[in-house]
Amino acid sequence: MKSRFGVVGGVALLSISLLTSLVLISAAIQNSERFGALFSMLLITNCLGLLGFVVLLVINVRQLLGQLRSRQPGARFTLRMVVIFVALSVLPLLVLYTFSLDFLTRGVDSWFDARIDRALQDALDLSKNALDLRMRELLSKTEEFAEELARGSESGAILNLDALRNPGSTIVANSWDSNSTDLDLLRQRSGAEELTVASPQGRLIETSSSGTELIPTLPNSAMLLQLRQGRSYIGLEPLGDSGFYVRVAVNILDTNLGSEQRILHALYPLSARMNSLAESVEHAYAKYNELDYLRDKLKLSFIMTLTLVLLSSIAIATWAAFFSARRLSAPILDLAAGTLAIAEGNYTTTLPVTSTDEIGLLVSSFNTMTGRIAGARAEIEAQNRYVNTLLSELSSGVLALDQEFRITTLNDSGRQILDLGELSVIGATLDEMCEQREHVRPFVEGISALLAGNSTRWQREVQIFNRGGRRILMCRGTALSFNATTAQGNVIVFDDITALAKGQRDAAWSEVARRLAHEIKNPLTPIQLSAERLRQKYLSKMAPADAETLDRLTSTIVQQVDTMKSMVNTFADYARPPVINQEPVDLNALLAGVVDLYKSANPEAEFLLELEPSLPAVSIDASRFRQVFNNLIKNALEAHPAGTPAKMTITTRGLISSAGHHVEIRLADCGEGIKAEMIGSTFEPYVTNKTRGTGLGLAIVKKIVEEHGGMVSLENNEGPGASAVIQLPLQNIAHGGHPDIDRKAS
Amino acid sequence: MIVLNSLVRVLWFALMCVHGTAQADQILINRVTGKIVGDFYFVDADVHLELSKDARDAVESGVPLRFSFDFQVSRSRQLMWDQQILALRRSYRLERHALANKYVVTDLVSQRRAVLTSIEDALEELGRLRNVTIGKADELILKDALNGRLQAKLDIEALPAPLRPIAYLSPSWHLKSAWHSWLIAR
Repeated sequence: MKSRFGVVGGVALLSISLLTSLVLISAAIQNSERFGALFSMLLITNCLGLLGFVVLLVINVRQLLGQLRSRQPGARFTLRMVVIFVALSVLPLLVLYTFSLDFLTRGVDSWFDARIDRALQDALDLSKNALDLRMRELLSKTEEFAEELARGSESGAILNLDALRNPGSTIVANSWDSNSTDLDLLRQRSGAEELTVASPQGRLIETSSSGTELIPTLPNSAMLLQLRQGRSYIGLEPLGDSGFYVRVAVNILDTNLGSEQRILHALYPLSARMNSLAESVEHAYAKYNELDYLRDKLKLSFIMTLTLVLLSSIAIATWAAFFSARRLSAPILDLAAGTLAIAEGNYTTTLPVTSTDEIGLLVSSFNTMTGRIAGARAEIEAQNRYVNTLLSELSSGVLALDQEFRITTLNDSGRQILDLGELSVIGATLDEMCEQREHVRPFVEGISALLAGNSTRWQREVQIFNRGGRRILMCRGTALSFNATTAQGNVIVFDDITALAKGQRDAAWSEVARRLAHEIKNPLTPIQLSAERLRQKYLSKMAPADAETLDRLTSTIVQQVDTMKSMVNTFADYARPPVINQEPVDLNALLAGVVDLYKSANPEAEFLLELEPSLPAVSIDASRFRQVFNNLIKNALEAHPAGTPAKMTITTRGLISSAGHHVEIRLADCGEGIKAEMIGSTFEPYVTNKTRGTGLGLAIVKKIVEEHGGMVSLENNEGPGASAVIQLPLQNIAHGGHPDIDRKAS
Repeated sequence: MIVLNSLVRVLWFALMCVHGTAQADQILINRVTGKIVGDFYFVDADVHLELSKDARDAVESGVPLRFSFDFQVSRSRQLMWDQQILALRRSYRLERHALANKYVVTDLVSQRRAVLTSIEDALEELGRLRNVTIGKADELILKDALNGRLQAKLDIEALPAPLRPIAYLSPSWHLKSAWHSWLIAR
C-alpha cells in the first residue's frame, strides 16, 4: 500500500513538474526575457520527464503482455480498460491538438502582414531619407569648417591615435597652439559634440569636445582609406545610450605649399526628438524583422511545445489508464482468486474490503457468502461425522451407490463383513471391487440384478466365501430418490446372518429330527417288542409252513424296525447340537485311511489320490470328517452305473484367494453327474435321486463342513461325472504355516 | 493536414539535426600573447571568426549574436589533474543596425561599442582582442609557469528562445574554437 502511494506520488510529482515546465517553456517562447535563461533547461527537463513516462509505460506494457501471455486472471480486463481509457483520452487530445495547431500557425502568421512589413520598411526609408538630408547639411557644414581651417596655419605636436587606444602606452603631453581656441569656436558654431583634426594616418592633431570623454573618437581605418581616396565620409552611428550620432570626416585641403595633409573629424548629435523617432523606428523594425526571421522557428517551437504537451498528456493518460485499470481490476482479481480458492475447497477465504463503492459491496457480499458456506460446510461435516459415527457403530454393513453404481459410502461393519481389508473402494464400481476382491463377486452378482431392476425396495440372501468361511448375507436394498421421478442411487444394508441362519436351520432341523425321532422312535419299540413277542409266542405253536411265514414276517418287522431305529438315530445325530473335538489332523492321511476301507470293500473300484504332500495339518474333528468322506465316497460309488468299475479321483491342495488361505478337497467320480435342476438343492435334507437312503447324507456332510467354517458344493465335471468340493479355511491350520501357500502368498 | 504538416516540420527538424553538416574550423585562434603592464596581466589575441550561413542570416535579420571568450589559467601538477587558478569570460555582442546600416560590436563588460560598415569588419573587430585584463600580475606570474588557454564560441544560450533548440541540435550553430594554450611565465 505504501509503495503504491509512493509510485502514485512520484508520478503525480512528475506530471506536475512536466506540466509546469511545459507552461514555463510556453512562457519562455513568448517572452524570452522572463524564462529565456531557463528555456534549454526546461526543454531538457521536459524531454527527460517524457522519457521517464515512456519508460514507465514500456514497463507497464511489458508487464501486461507478460500477464496476457501467461493468461493471468485480470490481464485481458486490464487490457480492455487501458484501451478504452487511452481511446477516450487520446481522441479528444488529438482533436484538441489539431485545432490548436491550426490556431497556432494561423495566429503566428497573423502577426505578420505584408502591409505592416511594407509600412515598417517605408518608415525606415523615410527615416533614412530624413536623416540623409540632415547628414548632407552636416557634411557641407563640416566641409566649410575644413575650408576655414585650411585657410588658417597650423602647428603643434602630434598625438598618436594608437597610443590613445592603448591604455598601456604613455600619452605624450601636447602643446596646443592658439588654433585650439579656433577649433573650440568652430565646434560651438557647428553644434558638434566633438571636433577633431587628425593626420591622414589617424594621428590626433587637435580636438575639441563638449563631453567628458578624455579620449576623442578618431576615424577608423575604413574612413581613413575613403578619405585618402579623396572622398568625404559621413555616416549615422548608434552610440549606445547617447543615441544616434552623425560622424563626418573630411579632408582639410590646405593650400599652403609644403604643409601636411589633415583631416577634420566631427561627431554631431541628433536632436532629442529626431533621436527618439529614429530609435523608435529602428527598434520597431529590428523587432519585426527578428520576429519575421524567427517566424518558422517560433512555429516549430510552438509545435514542439504543443507536441510535448500532447505526448506528455498521452503518456500521463496512458499511465493513469494502467493505474486505474489495475486499481479497478484489483478487487475483481481478488474476487477471482477468492472464487478459485473456494473452488479448491478453501472456504475460509476472506477478501479485504478496501472501498465502500459497489465493488466494496460485492467484496463484502463475497465475504458473507464464504462465511455462510464455511458455516454450512462445517455443519455438513459435523453431520457427516455424526452419520459416519452412527454407521461405524452399526453392526450392519451399509453400502451406498450412486447412479453409476459407484460406491459412495461403505461403513466399517460393511468392510468387515465383506472382508475387504485395507482396500479403498470409495469411488470404485462394484465390478472394480470384484476385480480386487474376487470373493465378493457372489455378493455383487447377487445384488446387481436387483439394483438394475425397477424395484425400489428389495431383499435377498447372498452367500460369499471369505477368510472366515462361508457367510450368509441378508441384503436389503433401497433406491435413493431425491426427486419424484428418478432414482439417484441405492443404499444396501446387509447383515452377516450366517450364525443366525445356521442356528435357525439347525434348530429347525433339530426340531424336525427330534420330533421324528420322538414320534417314530416311540412306537417302534412296542412294534419291535410286539413282533418279537408274536414270534416267541406263536412260532413254536404254528405249523412249519405258517411258522416259516411268521418267522419271515416278524423278522422283516424287526429288521425294518431296526432300520427305522437306525434312521431315527441318524436323525437324532443330525439334530443333536454339534460337539466338535477339533485337533490337528493330517487330511491326506485321513483321506487315505477312508479310501483304504473302500478299496478293500470294493476291490473293483479305482481310487486315484492326488494329495498335496505339503498340506498343513488342519484343526478338525477327525471322526466327523471321516463321516463326511464316507458319505461322499459312498454317494459317489452309488452314483456309478451298475456294471462298470467305479473310478474316483481325490485331490487335496492349498489355495490362496481374496478370501484367504484355505484347503480344497475335491472328490470327483465318473458317474452320471447331477441334474441341473438339482445342483442348488442337493445338500438339502431329503433331496436325493436314489431309491434308497435317508436323504440326509449330503445334508450331514454340509452340516459338518459348515460346523468347521467350510463350504461344500457339488458341480458337474467337464467330462463325465460330478465333483464334490470342500473348502476349509486355513484358520483351522493346527500349527506352523504352509510353506507353499506362504510362498504363493508372498 | 495540419497535423501532417506539423509532423513534417518536426521530422524535418530532426533530420536537419541528424544530418546537419559540421562546421569545420569557423573560429580559429591564430595568436594569443600575454604581457604585464603595471600590476596587471593583459592578453592580446587574434581570432579568426567566420559565420555559418544560418548565423549570418540571423545577424542580417536583426538577431544579435553573443560571442564568448573563455580564459582559463591552470597549474600543471604531477600525478594529479591541473589546478585551475582562474576562469574568466569576456562576452561581445554582434548586431546589425538597420537604420544606420551598420554592424555594432559591443563589449558587454565595458559597454564600449565599435560601429562598422560590414559584417567582415565587425568580425575582424570582434576577433581582435587587445589588452584584455585577466588578472593581477603577482597572482599569475609565479615561480612555476602557468598554462593559459582561450576558447572562443558563439553563445547559443543568448539566442532567442525559439532559435535555441535548433541551434543546440544543428551543427551550423555550433561555432566554437579549439582551446588555444599559451605559457604564462616570468
